[in-house]
Amino acid sequence: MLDTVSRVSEEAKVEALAPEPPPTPDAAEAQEVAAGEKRPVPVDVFSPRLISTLRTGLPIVWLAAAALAGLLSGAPLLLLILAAGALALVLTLMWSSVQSLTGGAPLGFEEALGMGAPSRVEEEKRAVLRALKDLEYERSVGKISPEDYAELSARYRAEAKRLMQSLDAALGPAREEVERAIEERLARLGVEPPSAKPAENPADPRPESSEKTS
Amino acid sequence: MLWQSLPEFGTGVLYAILVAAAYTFAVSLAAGRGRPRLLTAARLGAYATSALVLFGVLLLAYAFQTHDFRIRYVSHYSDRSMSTTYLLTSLWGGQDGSLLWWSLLLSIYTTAAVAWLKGRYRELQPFIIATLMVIVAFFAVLMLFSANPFETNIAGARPDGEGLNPLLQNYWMIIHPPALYTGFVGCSVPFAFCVAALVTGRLDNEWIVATRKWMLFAFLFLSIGNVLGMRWAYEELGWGGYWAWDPVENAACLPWFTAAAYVHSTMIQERRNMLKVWNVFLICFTFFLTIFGTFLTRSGIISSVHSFAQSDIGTYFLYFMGLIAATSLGLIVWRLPLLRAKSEIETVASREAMFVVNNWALLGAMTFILIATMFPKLSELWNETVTVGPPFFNRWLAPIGLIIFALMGLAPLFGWRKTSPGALKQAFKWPLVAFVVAAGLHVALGAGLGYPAIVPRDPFYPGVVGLILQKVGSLAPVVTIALAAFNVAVIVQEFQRGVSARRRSADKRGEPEGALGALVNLIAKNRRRYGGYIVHLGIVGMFIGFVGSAWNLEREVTMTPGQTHEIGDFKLEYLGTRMCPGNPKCSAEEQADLNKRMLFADFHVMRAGHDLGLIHPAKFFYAKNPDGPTTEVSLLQSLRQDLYTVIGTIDPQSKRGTFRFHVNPLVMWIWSGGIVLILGACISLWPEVAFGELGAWSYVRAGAGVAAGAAFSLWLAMSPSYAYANPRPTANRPVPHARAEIPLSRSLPPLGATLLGLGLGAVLSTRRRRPLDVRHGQPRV
Repeated sequence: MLDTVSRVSEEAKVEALAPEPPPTPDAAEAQEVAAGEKRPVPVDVFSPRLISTLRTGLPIVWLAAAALAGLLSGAPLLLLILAAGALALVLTLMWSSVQSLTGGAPLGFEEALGMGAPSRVEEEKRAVLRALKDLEYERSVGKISPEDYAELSARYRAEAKRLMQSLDAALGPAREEVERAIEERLARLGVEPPSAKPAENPADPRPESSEKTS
Repeated sequence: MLWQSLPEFGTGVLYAILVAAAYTFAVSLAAGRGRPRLLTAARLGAYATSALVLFGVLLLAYAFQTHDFRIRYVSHYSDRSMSTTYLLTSLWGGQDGSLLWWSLLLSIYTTAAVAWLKGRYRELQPFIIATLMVIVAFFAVLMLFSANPFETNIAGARPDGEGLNPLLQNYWMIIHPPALYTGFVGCSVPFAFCVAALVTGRLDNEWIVATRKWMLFAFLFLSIGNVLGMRWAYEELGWGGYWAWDPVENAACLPWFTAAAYVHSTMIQERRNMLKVWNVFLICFTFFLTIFGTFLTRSGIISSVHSFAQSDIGTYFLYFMGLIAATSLGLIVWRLPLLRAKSEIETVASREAMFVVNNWALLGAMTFILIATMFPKLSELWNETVTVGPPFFNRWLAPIGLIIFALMGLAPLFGWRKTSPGALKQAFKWPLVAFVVAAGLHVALGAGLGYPAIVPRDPFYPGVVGLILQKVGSLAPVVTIALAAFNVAVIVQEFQRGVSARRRSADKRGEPEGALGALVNLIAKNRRRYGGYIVHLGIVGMFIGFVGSAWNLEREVTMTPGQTHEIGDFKLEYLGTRMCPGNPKCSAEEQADLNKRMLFADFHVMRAGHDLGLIHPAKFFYAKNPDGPTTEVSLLQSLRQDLYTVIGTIDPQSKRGTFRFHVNPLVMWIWSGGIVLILGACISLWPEVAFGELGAWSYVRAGAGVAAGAAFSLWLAMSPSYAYANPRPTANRPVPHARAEIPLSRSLPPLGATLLGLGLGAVLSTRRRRPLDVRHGQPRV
């Protein structure tokens, strides 16, 4: 449970990382969905597992049918069945696109995640870490003098430290805010916050495992 | 019903592609304002557009298979006698279909890019998709208004089609255009990234890392496409060589130079935060050159053996090139303040300085080829037409090529930023020894082996320039061999230093590694670096192959049956001719071929007393084209030299014939070098992920990729070959036919295809079970 909470908490930080975009209908909708208010959850005929199975299964059936038709009847029928499948794919994708455009489809995890695009600082941090890795290699094969290595290494490390501190500083307030929001949500749902859960119950192994994962 | 309305329906699909691309473009731009829901709609729109293009291609393929000769394109490029395979290859055999094929490849790239971008570069995504959709829309417009592959014949359906050009009915031609197109179209994705980065102002170094992989993929396929094109020309055109500096060949290699320059210069931006303007320029220019190359091929402004039918398509390309140039330059100028370098080259003794010089050399070669290719057209501006032939290119590009070859070896010897004199001395010692020893050995032993170190050349021009070019041309063989040794020594040294460093580090950790284990781990942990060195090794092989042309032998002889002729080490005995079908010595397959009549000349080949078997150059007279027989080359290949034989003319009564024999040394090194290059590029592209991190599904996909490669190899191995040769002794054996033996040349395509399969497996298995860094929605680095 703590693992899940921690994951949700981390996911929620994504929104906090976004450079405060103006509130959009999507964002408002996401907040409503996240808060569990307003819209009742619709009864979905297609469970995610069924959709996932269909996504994998239908193309396989389609290709198998085309191959079988090709073997039995020749290339024209094979191509015709492949074309029919492609047309069905076009219609499905276009329908989904229009649904997404008009707000007919619920906001997905990836979309919500996308509200917090990686920051420029994060990308700079990666570049500096990569430069440090290269520097280590250059030193190991003797392509750089010890003096140059020391100077460059110190420079890159200082830069990496500065960027990491900058990232942490940016994340701090958001992290607190998200943790508070999660506690409120859990309280509303009647779930005891994980920190308040007694760990002394020997029959429940969750605290130990969750500690490992978190 | 479908059959009755297929042409109209196909044209309707082209309209639908245009509408879908326009819709996706508009939604993408709207998504650029930061609305994730719109981005999802744009992504789905991009997938739908791609599926629509696939639908169009399948419809055209169906029209070919059902011989729907109402459609002009089908009747021009196929006939009822063609096999299923060639009916499929007819899809890209002519202009209209090749544009649809181009759109399909672009759609595959778009799908791959959009799928790969999921969760990555969300700010850039909308503009990447929008740019790709503009390109798709351009090709849709082109097809709809100038080269519609579904257009019907004015006079109605014909009873039979004209058939595919016999020159294109060759297995190299089955895979050469798709490979080259894959390379050309692959440059669209880096261009889309570049436009997106310029529009959003996200010009840090992260996007360039992603772009490099896409460009490397395009570079890989440009290399494959060009090598296959060379191989096709070598086997099919029958003039004895592989590269004739034809405008279309040149157009195909131009983006290769800029892509090669980019994959090097991008490393400078990654490491030193420099050359940002240069890199965005290279990406835009590479894409521009792919369109320019297509314009050259399609517009017919320069005469070429490859030219498609004349049409007004060139005008559309001109407008599109103008749009690309204006957009690219406008965006670069707009973003110049963000593109300023944050550091500079400190000394010439640094890798970045070497890379910059290397970039200039590559761009110099590209510019030279571009101007020389366009020169006949440019010279019309002052009312005279100057033709530029292969000798001109060969003379001038020899020194430029040698400079690039030298720089390829020099750059890895330097470290980033600056290299101390001690380190330089240490790095140069063994490569220089290899250079001097190779040059010395070549001078001492080369002439005795038939490969003299210095090959005298005639002066090309009067004056100093002519003298310099003459000297460089004469010395090119020994310099190339010495530089090849230098390059190999550098590569071996780099591997040796890496292995030593790795073993030292492992010893310190108390986990000692063997030399082989350390080598494998070294490559596995630094795929980009060591894959690059393997690419260099492939290029060394190709340079050795190129220099072989300095020692070519060529004879044109007239012979009657029973006569013998000696050329180089080879002794050829002319046995006579046979016309198939009809002659009892013909194979069952040849007897059953009713599409053409085949005139074979049989030769018995000996070398230094060894029986090498029979070879059979031929002339094929296609039923659809009886007045234009094709020349079918017969080859005996080895790493040392090729025996290349061609029929000139044959008197059907006396069997007296005129033949051309070539001994082409070291040509096999070009194909072998090409395979090593592909292997190296695949290693560089292989995703940076440990096998343990891969999910089970990824194993399945990788396996499927390899299986596809193996199946493809098998298919190629079973395809008919027109390069007739049998390198085994043939005493007491009937005259063999093409399938009797699989010569070495035939084993190359399967090997290449297997590598392709491995590459496919690598790409397919990139999607791993990755732990998400949930703070940023990115996989952990």
